[in-house]
Amino acid sequence: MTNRLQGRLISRRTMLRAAGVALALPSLDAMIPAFAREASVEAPRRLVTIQTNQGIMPHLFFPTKVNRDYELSPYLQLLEPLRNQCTVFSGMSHPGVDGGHANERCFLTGAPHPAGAGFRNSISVDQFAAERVGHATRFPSLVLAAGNSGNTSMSYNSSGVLIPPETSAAKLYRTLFVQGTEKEIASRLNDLRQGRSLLDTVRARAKRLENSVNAADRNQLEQYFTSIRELEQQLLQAELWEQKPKPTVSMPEPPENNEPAQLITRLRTTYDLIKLVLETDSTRIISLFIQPLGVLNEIDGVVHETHSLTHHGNRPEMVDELRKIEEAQFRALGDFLTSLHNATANGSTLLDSTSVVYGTCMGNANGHSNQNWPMMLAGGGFKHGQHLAFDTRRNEPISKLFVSLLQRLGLETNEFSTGKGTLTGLEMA
Amino acid sequence: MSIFSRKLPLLLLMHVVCSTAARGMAAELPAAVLNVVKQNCLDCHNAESKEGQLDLTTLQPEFEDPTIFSRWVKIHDRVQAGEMPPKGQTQPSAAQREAMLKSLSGLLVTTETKRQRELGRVPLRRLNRTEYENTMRDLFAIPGLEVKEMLPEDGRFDGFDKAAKSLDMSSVQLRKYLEAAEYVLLAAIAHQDKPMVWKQRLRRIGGLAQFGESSFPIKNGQPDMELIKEMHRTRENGKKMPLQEKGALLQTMDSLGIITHARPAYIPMIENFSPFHSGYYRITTSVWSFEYDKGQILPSDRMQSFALTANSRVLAYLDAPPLKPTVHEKVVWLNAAETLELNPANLWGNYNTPLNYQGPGVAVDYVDVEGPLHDTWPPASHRRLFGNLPLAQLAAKRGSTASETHPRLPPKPARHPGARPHHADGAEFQKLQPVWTAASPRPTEDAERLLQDFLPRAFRRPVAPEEIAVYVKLAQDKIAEGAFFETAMFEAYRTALCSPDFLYLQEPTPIPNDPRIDNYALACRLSYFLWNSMPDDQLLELAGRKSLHSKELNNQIERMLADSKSDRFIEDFLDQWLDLRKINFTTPDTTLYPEFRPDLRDAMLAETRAYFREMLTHDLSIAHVVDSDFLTINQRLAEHYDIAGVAGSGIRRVPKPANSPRGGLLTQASILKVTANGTTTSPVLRGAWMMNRLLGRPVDPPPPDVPAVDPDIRGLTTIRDQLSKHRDNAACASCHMKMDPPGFALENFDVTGAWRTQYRFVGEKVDDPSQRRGEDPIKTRFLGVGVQQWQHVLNNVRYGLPVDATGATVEGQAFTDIHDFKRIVLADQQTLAQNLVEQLILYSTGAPVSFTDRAQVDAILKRSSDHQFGLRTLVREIILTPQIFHWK
Repeated sequence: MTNRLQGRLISRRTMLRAAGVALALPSLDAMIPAFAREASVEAPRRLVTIQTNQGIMPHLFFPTKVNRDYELSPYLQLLEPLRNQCTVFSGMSHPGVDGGHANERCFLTGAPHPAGAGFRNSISVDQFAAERVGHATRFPSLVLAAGNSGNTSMSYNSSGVLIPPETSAAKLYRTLFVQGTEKEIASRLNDLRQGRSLLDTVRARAKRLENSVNAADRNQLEQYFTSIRELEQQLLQAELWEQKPKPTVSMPEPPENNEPAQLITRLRTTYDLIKLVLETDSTRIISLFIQPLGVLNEIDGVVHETHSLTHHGNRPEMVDELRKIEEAQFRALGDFLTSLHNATANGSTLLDSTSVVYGTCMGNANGHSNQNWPMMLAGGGFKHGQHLAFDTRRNEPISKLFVSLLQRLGLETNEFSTGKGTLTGLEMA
Repeated sequence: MSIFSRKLPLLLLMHVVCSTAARGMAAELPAAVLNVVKQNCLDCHNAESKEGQLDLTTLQPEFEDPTIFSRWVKIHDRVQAGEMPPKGQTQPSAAQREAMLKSLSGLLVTTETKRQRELGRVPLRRLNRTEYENTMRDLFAIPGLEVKEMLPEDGRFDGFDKAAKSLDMSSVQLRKYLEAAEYVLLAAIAHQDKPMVWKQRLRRIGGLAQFGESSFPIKNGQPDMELIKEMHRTRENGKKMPLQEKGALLQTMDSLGIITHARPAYIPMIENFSPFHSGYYRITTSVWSFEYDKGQILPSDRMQSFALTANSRVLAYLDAPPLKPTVHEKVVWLNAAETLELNPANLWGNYNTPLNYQGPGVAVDYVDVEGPLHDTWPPASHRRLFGNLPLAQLAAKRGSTASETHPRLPPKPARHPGARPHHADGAEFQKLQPVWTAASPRPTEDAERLLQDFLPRAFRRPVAPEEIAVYVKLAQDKIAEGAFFETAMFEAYRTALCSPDFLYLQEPTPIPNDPRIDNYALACRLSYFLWNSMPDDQLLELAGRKSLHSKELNNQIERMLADSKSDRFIEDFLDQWLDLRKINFTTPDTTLYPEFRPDLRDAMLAETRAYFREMLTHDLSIAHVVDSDFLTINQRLAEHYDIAGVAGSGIRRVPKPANSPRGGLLTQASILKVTANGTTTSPVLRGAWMMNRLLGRPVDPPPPDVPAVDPDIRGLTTIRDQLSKHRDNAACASCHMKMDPPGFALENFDVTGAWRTQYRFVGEKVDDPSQRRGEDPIKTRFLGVGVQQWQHVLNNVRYGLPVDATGATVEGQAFTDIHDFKRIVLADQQTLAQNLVEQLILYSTGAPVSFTDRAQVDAILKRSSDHQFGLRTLVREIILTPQIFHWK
């Protein structure tokens, strides 16, 4: 099998056409998990995007000195061993992405004015990537959330529609690694085929309807037809994957954990699973939305609700308590990055093939500031070990970082959302 | 400073045409418009300056382009409002201005009328997820069905999830519809014989480990102190009383006393009860309250209450009068696996034990649960799908696949460990259960008969025989493959529920060149407006007779508003109009506002809904948005508003005391809460909210390079001081002059909507109480606070800088407080009414008010003015306006 997926872009359309013409399994050869391939194949490129939505206190995150000899801030101290695997950014945000908490949904999209009337989101960078490289793996992407508030993710499809996240680590584990019996597989295949036959029927009905309505209605129906077409292809893909064995892993199934106080425990389990997902090449594109709300009293010294703490009004004891919550998240991140750094794949570390973006949409949650977002990047095969400082008054668009990341994935794109061109100062290793 | 919103995209920057004159537009624009543009606008709005990103030399009069159209509308509106040309610039004469406006609006109306003739006001609109859930509930008669959260969040336009333009379809959405339809059908179909009615008296509230700590036994009206001390005694083996022994004591006590609100480690679950089946249950309980003083139960003068909840869903508030056991019987819908709680609603979270606690307490004599209660079997939901076909039992065989032995079964909901009823409570609750399914002696005929009945109801209109045949064939093919009758029908039903006929509101115009939609579509507009759900049989029947007009239409409005389903309209409309859906978005800081608990939040919502219901029922004037002579409150809100003499959790109408700042929607706690965050209030946000939601004059978002105000709760500075820097900046002032004043007038209300004359701040830790900064809080504002908790409150909640609620409107009218401000707002009731009409039109038709619609809005206002723009009149007038409500 030649490495035709690597480095170059195969359009999704091409891929789908192939799948549509030949349903036979050979078309799946390109989708064999990376570890089953020969060692000579270059490691696939991956992207993990993480947002914690209640802010990161800027005075504990941003270093004051710039470039390579920057000093580690209190939070970055916690990632000290990974200094040369990370780049810290300051002076970055999405232009026009304001509206207090509303802006969290634009972390990966950069769509301006999310609190405005008639706001419509645009595609998120993970889904943009998944549309282009997602066909190579069992799951085009994984959309995850660890938090205590609802069914929100930060991933949006090309129509700007929210993609609901998987929030249960146990369920995620089962989806990824538990094969199921032959009968269960047969029943799932039957379901998938049934789904396609349902789509056939409703399409025919919509076609009849199309003939009797005006142009404006037809426009709306066009979305329905597109949805049917796309869903059909997804069901077809799922059918093909259903017949391929799932990877086996040594980690046991994590217990179902809905305890709001144990957010950090759940976050750590999610990180463990993400590492497994990457190792088994089950997907290459992951978004993780962390909502550290509620009383996280599993952390020593934390008794108050997180969101109230973020409106600390500069009171020292509240700042201290919030710091404990943020530190716990940085520790979990540090352990996750270290585990990627210690895992080798195709002759390099897993971290080297995986770009991990970590950040928050709040420059300062106390005042709901939407400028100067705390952001960092780890791994992915970039020249790291620096603090890239941009103008704190005229921020650099985060989407330029996204363009760099997309190019790192092998996509020939020079533009994403409000970002034109790559991020100055961030170079591939 | 430009007035044009930066929301508008840059237009036609590709070609910079001739810069001196409007050569491009000369040919097409009428002279009345062109003259004013040339004389009074081009100085600033030209190719070089492009003030407000508007270059009139290149703005083409291509009104068919929606973007250009909306730009011209904006030009029209600014000139009409006298905001353009700005003060200090050469003004057109009054006659010139009028001629220009008349000519321009004529052009705009002509263009838009032509477009609406072709395309209608509203394109095909899919159900939003609230409508979808309500529709499923009504279609299958499952009132507690929860399916909304399975669907992705809907897009919004101007705060509403009703606009066709923002309700997209995508493959993600469609996939979720497939899953949701399956979920609903599995919930609707019966798979067993009639379930037994489980009846049990329960006595324990909260965990056994907390028995003796947060709860305690009462004997002969007093705490059983000997037992309580025994529970606290460390025994010879170094341990305290084992749980088993504690459990036995529950049977011998008279009542259970409770001295804390739900808090970490005290979850007030009603023993282990968790329904095995969804359905109606009867909950009967006897409760009362008392004042507690270190081992003594004393009378009290304050009514207490319990919140009865299922998975945090409030089922009822139950009053518990002092020392007077009171029986409440409630029949409520419970979903399988929900957890029931009986939470002392007004008590503080308390960590003291019955040995030393001083403060209010509540008592529970018993909780009887009984259910599920089914009048008929199979249930209504099943009969909607399978009519009167009998249920027949299938053998449960081990080792064969489900599809061979029985149709698909819903997954068993995961109940908490040890939940009752369980396997020891009856054969029915044991693991292996026989499966029952609809038995059809003549499946082919039955399929046809059932689908003929179901499809018109699901599609909300008659269904052509050839359309029904498609679904019948689906079922019959399955039957021919050897599938169970139920499985075959399941596929046909599921397909129907994913078809565009179910998912979209179709509004055909049967008569050529006549914009009127047919009667079925009109029935749907009515029902999705006033019930937020599908039309009922009566509406469909009237539609079938083409009788939905004139007098009958009026009758239906009356009938629908009298139906309790109209609560859905009130809740959903207020959630969106007034942003009440955001009530849980922030929780008031527990240190600064320790008296805030969910019962207050629930009362806030109930107040606004009850108030809007009063406006609707009694056709109360639009002035009631701002002020009223009555309030709709319960005890908790009365306490919150400093009003005496209201006891109990039920909302009721009471006269407003003289000089109360309440009255109207504007000063209700719910609104004051959603316009604040959990810690501080901002006049900017509250002012912008009022401009946008109540006055219909949205303000532009702040420019991107302005830093947000960093709130301070150390008591050293006020938000007003912090803002003044901002307002002194000329660039900021022009907008802030408009939006801050309403916010200033509301400064006397804190984040929970309570009245304040000083700001609260959080006290520092000090060793010597006399060293505390600021003033002490007043204890009566912290009702029910225990003696020990009061010390925390004294340390944490301090009162500092005084509130200044004075200001002046942008027109220059000064006010000293909210009373003054209300009088100013009330002087212009037309604006309030116009805004409400526009919001209602967007909500009820799925499209915002267009330029052409404005004439209809004016007409509605004119016809309603004799009724002082009463709410019921406005609703009725909108429905009776053909161009708005009866035209495509």
